Amino acid sequence: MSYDRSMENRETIINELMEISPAIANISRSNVFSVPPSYFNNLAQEVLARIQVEDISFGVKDAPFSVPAGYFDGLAGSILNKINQQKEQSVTEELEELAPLLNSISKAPVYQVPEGYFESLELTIPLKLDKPSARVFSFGKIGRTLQYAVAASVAGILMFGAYMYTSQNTEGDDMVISYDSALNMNVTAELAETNEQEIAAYLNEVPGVGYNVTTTPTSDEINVDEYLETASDDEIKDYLNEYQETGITTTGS
Amino acid sequence: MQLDDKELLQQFKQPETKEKAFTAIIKKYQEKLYWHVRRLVVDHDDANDVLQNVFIKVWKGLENFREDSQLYTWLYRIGTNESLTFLDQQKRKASVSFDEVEAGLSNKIKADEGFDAQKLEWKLQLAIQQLPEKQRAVFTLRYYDEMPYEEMSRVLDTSEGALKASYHHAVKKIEDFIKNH
Repeated sequence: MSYDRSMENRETIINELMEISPAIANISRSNVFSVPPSYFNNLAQEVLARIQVEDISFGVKDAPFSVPAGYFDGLAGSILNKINQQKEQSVTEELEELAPLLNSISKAPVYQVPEGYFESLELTIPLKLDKPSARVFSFGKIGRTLQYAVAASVAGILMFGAYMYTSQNTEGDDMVISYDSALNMNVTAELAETNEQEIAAYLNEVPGVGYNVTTTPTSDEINVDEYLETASDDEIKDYLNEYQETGITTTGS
Repeated sequence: MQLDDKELLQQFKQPETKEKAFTAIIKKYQEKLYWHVRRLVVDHDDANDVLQNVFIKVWKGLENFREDSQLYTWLYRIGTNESLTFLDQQKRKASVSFDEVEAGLSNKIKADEGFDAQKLEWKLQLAIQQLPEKQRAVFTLRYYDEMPYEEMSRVLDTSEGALKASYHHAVKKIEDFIKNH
């Protein structure tokens, strides 16, 4: 259906325009623009000429190339065959091309293993797997700051252990730790030998750790308050004399 | 004698009559579309470029054209979109604002060899260029092409109510412009 302006539609539009703006409705609709002579006569030919030019590029897309019959049916199979061939040949053929001399050398192992190693390996590995692993202590909800503090404490303990070790084994300047002795030191063993009080004393002395560490009371230690309540005067004197000798001061109640 | 659109579309789908049918479509609609485009872009060379692009798009899309739509509505839709796209590209290329594009279009009108500032017809053209682009399309489709709102709704993809309001505003703005110039 073509677009034909009907008289009815024109009257409707003019009436509408008269209602909105009579001034505009009274303006002539004559065309004020001009068009080059015979422009419309040649437009169709110009457009078709451009389409033909652009069709050259469209032609590439629509080029009627042909493929052999059944090409796509066997394509996947032929590609897989080629891949499989390459897999089988790749190592030896590649080496043959790169270095034929290497390809001629036997690949038999030249290294020896203990007799019966591989037979016993099957038994050894399960035994290792069954061995209970070391107990893991979780920090749980301990804050990150405390974790750092613990790490710093461990590092301090190790250093303290190293110090103690070297101070026992060096003559003269006991602050000097020789490189060799530090290297040969069994830190774990030294740490195991260091008692809890020494570790606590170290941590309280080291500035920056920021934690007061107290040792767990042992059966040898005395609860001062309890002792003062129950002990006789002589026993108290003995107690005070004993601790004055060791240089520990007590704050009594 | 002009063939109707349905016959032209059927001929276009036959390879042996494709070019003949397409030439007939161009001949049938070229002037209507040209003037619609020209009123929007003003300059003849610009209008020619846009119109040729419109018909090239028609050539590419005509085979898939759904015959439940009217061909002329579809052509106007492409023509309007191409014109507005062209104006948008001009703005981007020159990095100028919409006001500057309007001024450029008005200058093109004033540069026309037939321009007469005293004539109402030329004042009307200047007034049209003051409108926003979409409103300009609504006004020219209604005023010059006398297109019913129902058809215009399909061309511009806008409701009839919105088009009526837009046309009303456009006419009022044009009236104000002419009174004040």
